[in-house]
Amino acid sequence: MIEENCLALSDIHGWYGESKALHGIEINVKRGQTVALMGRNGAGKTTTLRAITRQLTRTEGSIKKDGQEISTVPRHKLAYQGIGFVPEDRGTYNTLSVQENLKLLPKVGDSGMSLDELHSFFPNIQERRHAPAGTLSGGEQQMLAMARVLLAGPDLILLDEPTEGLAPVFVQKIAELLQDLKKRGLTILLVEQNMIFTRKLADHFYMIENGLVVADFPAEELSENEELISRVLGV
Amino acid sequence: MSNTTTHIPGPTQSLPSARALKLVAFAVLAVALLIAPAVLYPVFLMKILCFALFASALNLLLGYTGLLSFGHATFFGGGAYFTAYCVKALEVGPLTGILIGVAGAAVLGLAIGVIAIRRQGIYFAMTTLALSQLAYFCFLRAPFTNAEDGIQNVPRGTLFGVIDLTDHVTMYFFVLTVFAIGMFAIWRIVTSPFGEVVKAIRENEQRAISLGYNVNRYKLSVFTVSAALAGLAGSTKALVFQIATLTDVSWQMSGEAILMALLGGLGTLTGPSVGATVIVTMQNYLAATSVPVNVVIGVVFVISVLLFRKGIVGVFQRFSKAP
Amino acid sequence: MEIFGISVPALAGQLLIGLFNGAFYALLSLGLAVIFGMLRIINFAHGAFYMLGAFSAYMLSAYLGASFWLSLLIVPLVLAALAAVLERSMLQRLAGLDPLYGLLLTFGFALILEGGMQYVFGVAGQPYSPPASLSGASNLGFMFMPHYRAFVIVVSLFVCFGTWLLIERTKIGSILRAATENPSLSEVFGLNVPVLITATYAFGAALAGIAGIMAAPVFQVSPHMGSNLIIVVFAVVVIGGMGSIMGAIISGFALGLVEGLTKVFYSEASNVVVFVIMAIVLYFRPAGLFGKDA
Repeated sequence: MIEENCLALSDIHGWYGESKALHGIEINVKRGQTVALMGRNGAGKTTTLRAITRQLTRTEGSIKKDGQEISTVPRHKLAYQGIGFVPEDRGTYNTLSVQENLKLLPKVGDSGMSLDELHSFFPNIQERRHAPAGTLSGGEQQMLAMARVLLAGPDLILLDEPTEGLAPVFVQKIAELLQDLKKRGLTILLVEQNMIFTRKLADHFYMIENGLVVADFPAEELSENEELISRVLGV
Repeated sequence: MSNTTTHIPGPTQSLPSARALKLVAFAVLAVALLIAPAVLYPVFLMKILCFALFASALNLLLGYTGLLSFGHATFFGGGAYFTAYCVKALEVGPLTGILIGVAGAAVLGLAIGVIAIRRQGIYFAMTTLALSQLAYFCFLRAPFTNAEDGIQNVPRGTLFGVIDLTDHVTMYFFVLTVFAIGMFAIWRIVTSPFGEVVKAIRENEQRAISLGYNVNRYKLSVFTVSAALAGLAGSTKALVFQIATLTDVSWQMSGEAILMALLGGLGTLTGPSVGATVIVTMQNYLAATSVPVNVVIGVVFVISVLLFRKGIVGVFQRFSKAP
Repeated sequence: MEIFGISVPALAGQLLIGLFNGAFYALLSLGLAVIFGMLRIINFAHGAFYMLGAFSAYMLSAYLGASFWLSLLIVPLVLAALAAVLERSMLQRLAGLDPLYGLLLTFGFALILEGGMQYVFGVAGQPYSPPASLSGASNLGFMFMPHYRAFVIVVSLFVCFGTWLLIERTKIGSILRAATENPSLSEVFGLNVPVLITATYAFGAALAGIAGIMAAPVFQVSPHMGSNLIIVVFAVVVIGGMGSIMGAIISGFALGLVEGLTKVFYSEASNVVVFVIMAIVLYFRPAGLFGKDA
């Protein structure tokens, strides 16, 4: 049997120091899907991504990538399981040049984009390749963070709030990019507050509240769940 | 060091039984100190008391304020030099000599502190170390210190003009009194409102600043008081051994005081004295063997840092608090 | 010829000695800065590593008859191996704790290494002669230039700027800088940060080893040769600020020169001039001359 789930989280509990933030998260991400985690600030969306990338003080539960348990592999080997990560603060290294940032990550797969494709997608980054990443605008840093991960070639990308604080032109650009990545068959786990942005992209939605999944439904059932979405997001 | 030091519950927080236990322990300790010279060599005991006070003075800064001074030998040895010079060359009494030593150490502490508190953490440690090395060269060159020979044959003198301190047992009780006064001062400081502010700085300096405390003034005050107390220990030591030398102002001496405080338990009132007792006893014992003392001290240092960061007293407190 | 009442050969000679001492300050403060950048600790054992570098050269020569040139290759590797073992077995356990514990642990290392060497070899200095090809001196017209001193200055400059290039201009350097800026994220990205940390500590120790073997023919090879030097280097590091590699190199050479000049004009102060400069710099610019953080 071929494992259908690219990523499967089961009964994930997570702690920041002494305080518990995740109380048994269950999420399945099928291969090739784009899955959106939704919820209010502090609900546990970002924490879930940090649990996968093992940046919490303590994490319990099972995390499987392509059917293999990855919660016990050393942190620096996670990327080699085909996992790419774009953190909330973009995670670009301010003291490194744009080019150094781009070339930093080890190649972990070939499902990503080539340098030429990326350059045509992100012309600004090509132009500013010698500048320190710290001097880029927020939108440019987001582009850089995405381009960097794509060059490494993971088949699963964890994206944390990619449109947060960005100008509409950049939001549009990122939406185009993600559509393109979907067509290429990449699996995406997306944390996003921007509902308009997410509606167009996601195949499946998970609603998170107080460190727990309270509901999940496919994109086709979006309209039936409007009330629930408004309640969970508090809009 | 803030996250590893143990908070000592004040007397009011203790359970009645724990308080009674503390009083009993204190009484036993007091009696033991009083009869000790009948059993053990008084000079050895006086050495322990001097180093216990020195380590406790350092602990006031390191354990309670979170500032690692790697230059406290300057105040310890400086106090020793000033006292030795005044008693020997100027022929003042032992008490006056000690007071001058303490005052001198406090002035040195103020001068070094003003510069050192401009940096924090590891830079503070390096700065105090470098400034104390500067002081070392000054003591080496100063006309009154006799360079490598040091000030030797320092007379112990006569206390209040009547009590002759030449006798070891008499001297012991004088040193014990000095030690008790020094420890009492430290206890008063750490339990006072001033001490509470100082501990708050250790826990979270930014918050102390935002609460409106002039953090630098507090740090400088503690640094100066700690230097004065280290000077008190050094001055007394100069009278006990009747000598003041460059060893007392060397960085190795600063390191030893840190080890004593760390081994006994940082941020505990009694820890540094326990650490001093262990180290001085060990040094005395090893001096008679061919075992290299510095290697053993280094090993104890490594073990303390790796496995034993709460120190002897810290570990004991944790056990006694466990349900 | 005279400048300020000092003859030019005397002045040039002292400047050369200053530059020569500065070559050691630069190598050692560079090693401290490299280690500090990655591990966030001050390596108190750095002076002991330097001393071990000199002793390794002495032992290689005395017991195995190894030449200076062979030792110059082997000694840094020996120091790197020793440091890697210390880091893996002990220093690594202090990750996440107050960096002061790292300072204290490496202070313990220094005591053990120095005490151990003193136990074996005593406090007296051991002889080590420079290679024959570097003995002698050239007359430059205005001064005599001992070949060995010139060699040390050139090697130090070469190693220092090589290190700078490695860190600022290569792929491995960018990985190091990334791991310094954000260690946990770098691990998620697939960089093996624990190995980088070990390698960095080993590299810093190797730099101290190079300084040590180059010091062996000139200074006394004795157990305590490193401990007083390292405090001066700490002051150099405080003056330069730990933020920059180039800062460590420049302050090392500059303070060596200043010390040399002080010897000419007011020799009594030459031992303390670095500390006095440190106090002045701290007072007016607490972050150090090249430092970024306060």
